[in-house]
Amino acid sequence: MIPGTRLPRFLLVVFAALLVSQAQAHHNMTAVFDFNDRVTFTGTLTSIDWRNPHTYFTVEVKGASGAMETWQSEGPSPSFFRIRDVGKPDFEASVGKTVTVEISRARDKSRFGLIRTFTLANGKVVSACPQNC
Amino acid sequence: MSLFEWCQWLQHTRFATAISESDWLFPLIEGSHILALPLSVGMIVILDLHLLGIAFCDGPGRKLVLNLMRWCKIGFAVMFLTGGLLLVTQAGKAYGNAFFRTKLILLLLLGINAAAYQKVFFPKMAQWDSPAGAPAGAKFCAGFSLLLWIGVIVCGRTMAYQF
Amino acid sequence: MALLPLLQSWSNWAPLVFVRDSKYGMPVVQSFHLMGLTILLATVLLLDLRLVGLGMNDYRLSWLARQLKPWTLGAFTVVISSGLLMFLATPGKYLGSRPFRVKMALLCLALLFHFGVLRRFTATDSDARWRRVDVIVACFSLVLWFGVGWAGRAIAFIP
Repeated sequence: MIPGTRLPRFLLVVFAALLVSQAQAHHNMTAVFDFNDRVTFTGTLTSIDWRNPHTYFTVEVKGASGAMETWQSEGPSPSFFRIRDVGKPDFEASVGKTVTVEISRARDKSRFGLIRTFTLANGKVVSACPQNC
Repeated sequence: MSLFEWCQWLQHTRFATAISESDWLFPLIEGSHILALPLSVGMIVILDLHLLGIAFCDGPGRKLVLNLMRWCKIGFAVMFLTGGLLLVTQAGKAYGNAFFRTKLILLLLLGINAAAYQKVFFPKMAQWDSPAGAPAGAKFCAGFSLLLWIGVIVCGRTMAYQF
Repeated sequence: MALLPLLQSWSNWAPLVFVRDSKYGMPVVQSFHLMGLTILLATVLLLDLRLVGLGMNDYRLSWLARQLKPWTLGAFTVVISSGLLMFLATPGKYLGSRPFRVKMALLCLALLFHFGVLRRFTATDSDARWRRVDVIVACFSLVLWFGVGWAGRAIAFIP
């Protein structure tokens, strides 16, 4: 790394490219969630845990057999939602009502996953992609 | 009330909830905790490297300690303040976290190590004018400090994955 | 953009699989990233403090710069290697993150400034303290490097 050679010019080019770069989303595996195992469920939002660094939502879903199942989903931080123009009151307004959640399921196949999209009771769809997809 | 119950109570106080539910305050506190590392641990590591004869080998160490300590104190003040605030927001969860408990034990050992160095070796630092002349005990303190700080950073990062 | 498919074609490289899919891969790599940035930013801090005469005043600036340089470079190597591993493990996530792109832009600027501008100021000694240009250079250096750090933290909080 010797200043005065090609390196500074290379850095300037990279800097300029990054300012204008567009990128497509892609999902990748992490240790806890399987991004290829997508599950969508619709049910009643029973509780929200609105905290940093992750938010949590509990939904009661009527299972295939007719029995009620409890599904947990993890979402991004409150600031993430804020940038997407959604706040705690928006989720609180959906408590006790019907919501639809698409998750990347936990690898242990439990009723738990990382939120990809969350459809509130009023129909608004909030996406956690591409960071969480 | 057991300690665990007290931790859970603490986590659900209005103060703790306000921080953990915040849009920008929590990220600010957590970011400050991490970015005060250079001002705190970074300075100590430089001192440890000197005592072990790996870096800054010219010149008396006593001068280095005095120069670094001024700034180090500010760094550790930020670390303790932000660390305390972060703990308050998740006291109940952190209680059972093995990595967090290990981090606290390591910090305690580091405090004892620092106090021991201050009492036993710092007063004698004028007697040796290069790390080669430093007593074995001082070098031990330095090596111990270096290893344990690495442990603190690893535990601090890994505890989040255990919640 | 053709960049993403190219990056993803490397995703089966064993170290990347370790980072992405194992339980402790990510925390281990992130720990190296943190240890690296601790030393890197500490060296930058000490140099900038000395430049304005606020710290390490018992040492000559040029001597300090020479002593710190290998540690700056070594720590930077650790930071960049661990960062590269994390990036290549899930490139789509990072390329799609606005804070990440800002971080990389600031990193380029920080490197240019450190090796292009700051170097000239720390190569010679002078008894003058609090010269306005020294204060500006030191502030620029700190804002750029800590800006990289803050942008990195923002990745987890801002889309």
